[in-house]
Amino acid sequence: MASIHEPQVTTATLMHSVMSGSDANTFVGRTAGEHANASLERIAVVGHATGDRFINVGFLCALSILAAIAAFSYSSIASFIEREAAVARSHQVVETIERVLAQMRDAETGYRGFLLTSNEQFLQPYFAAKNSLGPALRDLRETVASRSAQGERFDELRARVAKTLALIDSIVEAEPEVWITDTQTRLENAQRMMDAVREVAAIMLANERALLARHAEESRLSARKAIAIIVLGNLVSFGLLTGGFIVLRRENALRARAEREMMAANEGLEQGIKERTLELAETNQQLNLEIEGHRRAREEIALINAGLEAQVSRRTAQLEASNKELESFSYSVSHDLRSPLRAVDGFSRLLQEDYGDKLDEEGRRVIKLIRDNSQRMAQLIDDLLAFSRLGRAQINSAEVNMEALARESCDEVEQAASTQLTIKPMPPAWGDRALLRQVWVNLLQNAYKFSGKVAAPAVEAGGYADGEEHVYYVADNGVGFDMAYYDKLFGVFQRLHRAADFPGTGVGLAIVQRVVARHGGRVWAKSGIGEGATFYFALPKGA
Amino acid sequence: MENYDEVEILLVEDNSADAELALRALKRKNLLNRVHWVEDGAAALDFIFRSGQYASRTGAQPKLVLLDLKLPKVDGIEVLRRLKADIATRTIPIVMLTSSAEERDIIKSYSLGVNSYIVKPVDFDKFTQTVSEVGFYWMLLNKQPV
Repeated sequence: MASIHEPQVTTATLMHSVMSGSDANTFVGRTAGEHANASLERIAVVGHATGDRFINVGFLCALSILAAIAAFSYSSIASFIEREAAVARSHQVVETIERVLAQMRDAETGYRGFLLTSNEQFLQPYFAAKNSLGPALRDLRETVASRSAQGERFDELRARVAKTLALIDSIVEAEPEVWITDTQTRLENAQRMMDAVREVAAIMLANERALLARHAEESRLSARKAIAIIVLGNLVSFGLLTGGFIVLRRENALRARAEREMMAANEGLEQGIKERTLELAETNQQLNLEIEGHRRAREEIALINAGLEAQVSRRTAQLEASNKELESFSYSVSHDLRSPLRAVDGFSRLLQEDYGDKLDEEGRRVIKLIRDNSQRMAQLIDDLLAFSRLGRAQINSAEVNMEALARESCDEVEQAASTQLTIKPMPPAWGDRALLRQVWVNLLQNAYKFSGKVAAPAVEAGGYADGEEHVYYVADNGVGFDMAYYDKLFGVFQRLHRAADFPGTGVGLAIVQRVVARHGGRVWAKSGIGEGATFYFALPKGA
Repeated sequence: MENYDEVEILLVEDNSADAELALRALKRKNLLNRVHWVEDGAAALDFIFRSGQYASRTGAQPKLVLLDLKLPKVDGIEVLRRLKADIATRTIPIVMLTSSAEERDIIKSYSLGVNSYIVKPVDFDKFTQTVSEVGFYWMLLNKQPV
């Protein structure tokens, strides 16, 4: 019984394991352990199902076999009992026939005695036999009635017995005078009848004995068969029981193993979960550390930014202050430097006018030099102020038609009539029209100035798009310059030619560079001595 | 005691060299004897409003004031503001005659109602020409309320 209960317990445990396995599965979520666990679970479930089916089928088979064995046993035992009953019946038939024969003998003995002695005393056994023959025949009839051949013989026997008894009765009840004449015949008849009875009875006995023998044999066979069936049935039952036991043991072992594996897997899973949890905790800690680090970094950045902002505003204030200083400086220059110059120029002019006739040639030349230089200084001051103003001027950007502006600028420039001017199509620019006009004027003025002394002066202005820039240029075929001094080209008050050859203050190109730089562009130039010069400026496209 | 009745031009100029050059220029147009020269803004205001040393001045207001910007005591802008703020002196033509070509000075002057703004050329010939033309224009060509 214990071995039957065990698997149930095991199944329950197994089911629990499977359930908790899937619970754990749900808890973990989609992890690496899930796959292994799922396959284990599948194995367990499949094993469980096939085991159950196997047991059910086996149980049904065993049940049928046992039922068949029981049926066979029952039928063989029933058959044996039947055969035994037949044997008993045959014994009874033989006994009853012998009883009938005995009583017939008693009746014969009795009536013969009476006939010999006429003593009625001898009739007593005859009557007794005659009386008990009735029940004996009735008994015999009951036992043989079912069997046809013996039944017919019984009828014959009963008829012959009745006839015999009737004949004997007729002899016994006849008048004594009749006896002598007929007795002999009647006796002979009776003797014959009695023989006939014996004959039938003998046949019946023989038949019955044959039947008995057959029945006994059948009974013996039946008994042996029943025994064989019972033994065989027991053997089969034993085998089934043993097989069932083995199957259950094996199933039990399988389940126990599956359970162990499941538990191991669960343990592994739990271990995995623990490890994963630990890893997560570790990762969390790292993340927290990183977050903390980020927070600190942000704070530091905020601090630095605050510091930077303070620095920027300090610098801005310093710049504003220095700008203001610069402004008041240039204001002073513009206002205060010109007055003395005007006085120098004015009084030397008065000297010239009022006392010119009292001075000699050299004196008048010196006065002229004084006036030239004071005027040149005035020009320098004006240019310097213009340059200074450019640094502060607000740039009001808009789209500018550069071709039209270049053409317009030409009108403002003093030009030699012989100069061949070409203005080519050029893209529009984005910038301050007034400032860009200054650029064109300065560049064109330069071009005219430095090409003025060649045989066939030519000046060309143009422009083109280049990547993210629009490039403009002014080219001349003038004296050019030595690229070795290129560094000085765009500096303030820097000149590459003698003032006597080409007049100028050296501010023009500095102004050009400052304007272009303030537009986010760049300037450059290409030249060689006697090869003319090309000045380029590039401005960013669009706004 | 100077007679101020004939004064038609008030020259306000602290720089004596500039003043002399200006007076010489006006002399060429024969306007010299009608010019009165003061060296600072305070004196200019006294002259116009007949206060201080000019408290006893009885003559009419000048027909032109040539005003420098940078002046001791009271600067040119303040003089301009005061004259244009007073309804009695608002109609006196004021011409700025200054070395400053600064944009802000020009804008400020015009916003206060200056009648003209002239940058003194350094070149004496140009200066003479400019001053004499200004004097000629305002004194002889221009019509103003009496």
